[in-house]
Amino acid sequence: MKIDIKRLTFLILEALLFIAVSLLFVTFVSSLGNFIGSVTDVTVLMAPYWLSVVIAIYFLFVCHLVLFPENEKKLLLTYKVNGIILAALSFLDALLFVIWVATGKYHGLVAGNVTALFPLDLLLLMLAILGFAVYFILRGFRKIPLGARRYYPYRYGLARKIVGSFFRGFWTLIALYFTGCFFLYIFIANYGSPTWWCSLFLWLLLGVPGGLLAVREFIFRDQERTREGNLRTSAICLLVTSSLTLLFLIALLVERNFLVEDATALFIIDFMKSWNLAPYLLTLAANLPPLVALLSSLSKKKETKTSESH
Amino acid sequence: MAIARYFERNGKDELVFHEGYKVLQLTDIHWSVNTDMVAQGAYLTRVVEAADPDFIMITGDSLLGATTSTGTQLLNIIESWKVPYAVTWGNHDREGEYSPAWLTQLWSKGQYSYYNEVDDNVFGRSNYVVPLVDGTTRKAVWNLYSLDSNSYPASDSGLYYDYDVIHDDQVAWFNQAATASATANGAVVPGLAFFHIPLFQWFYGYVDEQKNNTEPLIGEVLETSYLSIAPEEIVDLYESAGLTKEDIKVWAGYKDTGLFDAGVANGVKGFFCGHDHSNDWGDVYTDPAGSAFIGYGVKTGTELYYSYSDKRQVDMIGGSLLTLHSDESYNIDHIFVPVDETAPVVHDTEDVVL
Repeated sequence: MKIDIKRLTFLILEALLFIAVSLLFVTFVSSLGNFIGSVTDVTVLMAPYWLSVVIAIYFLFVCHLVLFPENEKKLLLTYKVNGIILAALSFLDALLFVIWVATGKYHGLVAGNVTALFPLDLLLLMLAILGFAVYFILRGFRKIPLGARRYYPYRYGLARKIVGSFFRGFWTLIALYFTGCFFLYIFIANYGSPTWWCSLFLWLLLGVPGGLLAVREFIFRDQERTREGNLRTSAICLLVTSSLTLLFLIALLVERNFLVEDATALFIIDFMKSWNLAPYLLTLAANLPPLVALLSSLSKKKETKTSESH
Repeated sequence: MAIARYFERNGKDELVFHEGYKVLQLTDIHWSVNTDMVAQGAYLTRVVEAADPDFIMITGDSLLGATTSTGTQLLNIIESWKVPYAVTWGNHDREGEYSPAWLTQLWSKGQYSYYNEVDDNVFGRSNYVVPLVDGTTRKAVWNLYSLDSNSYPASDSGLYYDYDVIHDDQVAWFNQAATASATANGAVVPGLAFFHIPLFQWFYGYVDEQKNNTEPLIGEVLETSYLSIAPEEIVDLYESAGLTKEDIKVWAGYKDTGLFDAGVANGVKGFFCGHDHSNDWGDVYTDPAGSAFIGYGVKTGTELYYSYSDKRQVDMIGGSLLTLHSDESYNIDHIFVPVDETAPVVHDTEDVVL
């Protein structure tokens, strides 16, 4: 099998960016959860922080569009429109960080409440995104040549494209959260806990939504894939995710309190509200995509057979 | 397991009791990634300055949705007061971007910290005793008990969590510790018990008052919502008193494990919790085992919701100061410290008579 090095490099870059943004997103969700429960209005105080996470997620989405364009026209449009929006937002947010520090809302460049280096780290991130945005704009207006590119034309209708984009975007946010939890857990796990084996199954399951995105990007979106190949891949994915889900559910049945002991940090909103919804959401997020992919591949195969018989 | 380990001070000096020894309860500080740590740190310092305590007991939910950076800065503020302190865990303290071991280490490492987490099989983490000793005899005059009221039990419904309780083995541990203290000191040592989530006795005490239309010794219940997942026996109790489910404004753990009875039998004169942000209610509660004060601490800071008391015309934030006497009595001072530095500090003080 011939390996497309450029495509692989793009995918690896996108995956690394996804991991970085996922870690930001977990803390962002925690911050919003606290905001909802507090009478102290921190909207103004936290606005630059919240905006920076939104911009980072938007940047991730734009990078995806840039790395996997449908055609040259759309690529140029993406560069121009999204480049301008990204530049405006990241510049505004960087400016807000500077003003918040200058006016004492943030007590110094390293006030330290979100991370040890906050807000300096996010200010630098905004400046980096601003740099990329300027680069996108220059490319969009052909100040920098596009060069030879591979394109990924969309094969289905407009309605499916719109619905698909909406649900993929929403699902990507869920995958971002659980992926962030997956990597965060390496640092915050309750090592030495008697229920470590339950946490191991939870941890593996947390990696599934992000892993499925990787499967989609690395394997499914390869234009040379056959329907049989997609059927096989989705069946394998479903087998793996359902097995992990089963192990997770067994762990929950055997050690009914292990989430409380070992994983409260991952499901903060659940525990703030005394809900127990995140495990269900995780189970759904891990199994629904491969199930849909499998059913879709099966129906396409059936369609092909039917059309062949006529 | 040598019970003496629960009385260890990790190299710190013994705390010497004197007449009018002041213990300040701070609770539900709730620092998170959203916290303006300079402003909130200054507020906490003002509460401590208003109370001028000899010892500080922090009864849980110090952090919620925090990072290691937030936790470290909170510790730095607490240490800056140069007052000995101890910490109990609340149900939310575990909910942050750190491991439980990291938080244990944080509370243990302070120069003024008397936090003592013994590596044992007793449920929970912050189960330990801080004795206040006589300067001459070195015998304990008062015991300050810290108990971990834990967080949430396994979800029976699968959809929501109840609040956890002080487990049976913790009550057994408490009995052992109190007995050991009595043996070592030649008499039952009066004590105060600190934890985060209220006990069933808060349900009982509050329903008695509702039923009899009497005033509590101190404070109010101003929670606006009710405990929709209250245990059936509590719903029955309220209904038998002519009240409804909607009157249950106490968020206690899901069952009574007997700490109150074990406590009063072993000299505990008061039980203090945090948890319900809009309640600072407290009263003397009596059952066949004996009498003791049960009550909420005033919530510390503005990081989560709290109430305004029309009766006392204050935001219900600040701290609760307990002044201990040699005759085993004490008084309670709910200190309300306004966010506005120019506004006066309000005190609500009562003697506890058992």
